[in-house]
Amino acid sequence: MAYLNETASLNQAEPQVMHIDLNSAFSTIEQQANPLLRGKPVGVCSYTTPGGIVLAASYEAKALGIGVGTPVREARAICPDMIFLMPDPDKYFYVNARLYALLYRYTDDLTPLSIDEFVIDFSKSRQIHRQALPALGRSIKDAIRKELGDYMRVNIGLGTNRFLAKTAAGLHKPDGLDVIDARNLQATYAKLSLRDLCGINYRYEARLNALGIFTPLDFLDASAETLHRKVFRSVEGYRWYHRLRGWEVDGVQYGRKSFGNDFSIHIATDDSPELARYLMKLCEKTGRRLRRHEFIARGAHLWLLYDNRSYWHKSAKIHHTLYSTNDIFTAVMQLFAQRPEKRPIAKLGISVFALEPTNPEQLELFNTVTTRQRQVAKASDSINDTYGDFTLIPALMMNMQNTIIKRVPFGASKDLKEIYRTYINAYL
Amino acid sequence: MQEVNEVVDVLSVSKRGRGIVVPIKIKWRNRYYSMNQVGLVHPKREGRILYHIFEGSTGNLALRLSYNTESLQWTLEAISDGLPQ
Repeated sequence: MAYLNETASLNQAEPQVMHIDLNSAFSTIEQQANPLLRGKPVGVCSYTTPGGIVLAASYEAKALGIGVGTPVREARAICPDMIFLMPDPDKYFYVNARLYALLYRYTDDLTPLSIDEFVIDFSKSRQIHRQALPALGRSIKDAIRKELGDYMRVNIGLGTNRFLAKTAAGLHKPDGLDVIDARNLQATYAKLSLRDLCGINYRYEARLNALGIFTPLDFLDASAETLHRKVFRSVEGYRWYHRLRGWEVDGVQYGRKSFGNDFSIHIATDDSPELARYLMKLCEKTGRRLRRHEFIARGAHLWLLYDNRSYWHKSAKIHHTLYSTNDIFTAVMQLFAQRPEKRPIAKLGISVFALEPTNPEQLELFNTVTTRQRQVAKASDSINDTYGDFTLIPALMMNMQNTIIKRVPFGASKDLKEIYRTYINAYL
Repeated sequence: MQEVNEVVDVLSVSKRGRGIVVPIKIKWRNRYYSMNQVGLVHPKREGRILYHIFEGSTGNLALRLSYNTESLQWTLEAISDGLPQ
């Protein structure tokens, strides 16, 4: 494969990968929906209580230094007039689906990366779009404003690979449109820091610094061998060598391997019955998704974060199949019973793995307990589909309507496909 | 936003093109409010019932209305003056 070469020059091709980023997405959507919020510092938060954190800050809030991950308590201290909102996932899913439908008109080589980012590869549809891609980018921006709302601003970047396209999209926020190609690549890198490069966190920055690499230009000058053996100590070194030069190494899509949900407990607790109720709800949410995607699982995983920030997790392969909520709950509770410490738990999560499609289904000769449990699970899902989520629930979940609420799946592009199925078929 | 959740009288206009209905005037607690700007309309499903959520502003009051496509009723879900709570 090309990216395993020891040396490579800059990719001289025409930039045909477009990255579209609805920046400050949730805040921008809220400002679009409510005109009275426009021009004000707004934060969409996990919770609006002081312990919550900001999930998306409007540009006005960002200008004050408030960003993703800022605790509400801190944000309020910086800006007492800031408006904090709870997330409204249905609204964001719908806007994302509308964006998807709009972009799909330009090409079917469209990949949603997350709830607010898309990548379009125009290389296979270049003949259709005779206009220059920057001009096409401007027409996409106009279409978004016209169809989704006048406050909807997106950043668009063009590059020869996904990395450069994303980097270009981040150069002039909000409402930017930039191109990075072989002609301006070095000049662009000269204006950036290592941490401006998507994928370089402070740990990688420290490793690069230790080898005398302090800027993206130093990074570009480093040999593939150095990056491979001394910095990343894996094939990722070769990938970075080629990524920085505009060669595509990120176009791989991975299939689904697990389903899971987690929950941050408002006040950490070691009360086992209460924790069992949280776990039951997580199992029900996970089970619903597992069944909706027509999978069974053969493994369960549980993780716990204690109030002292220590972490424990355990997973197990299960002899029988996991399908109903009760199957999953039983497997999870067996793991839960093995936790070494009984101290208060602040956050917990579960997932099921070793997935197999339910179709074709292995039918059983006799009407066994397993078959009957599956039928009950399907009937229960059908009732909840008709009358709303959590209409029919396990008894353990009584009075938990406002606990473990619906959340936005950040970065989970696999979940987005389900959203598109729901919205595009039904409403668009 | 401050939750209200009261059924209200709404005068609406059906627009050509995308086939959407736009609420124009809302009567709530014997007062009339004009929806001057609709910011976003989005669907929401609760079980089999489809709602259309309309968010917009009268100029100094933001409103969130929902239209129940089964009962054909409008509900004023929430209001806000756009200031921090």
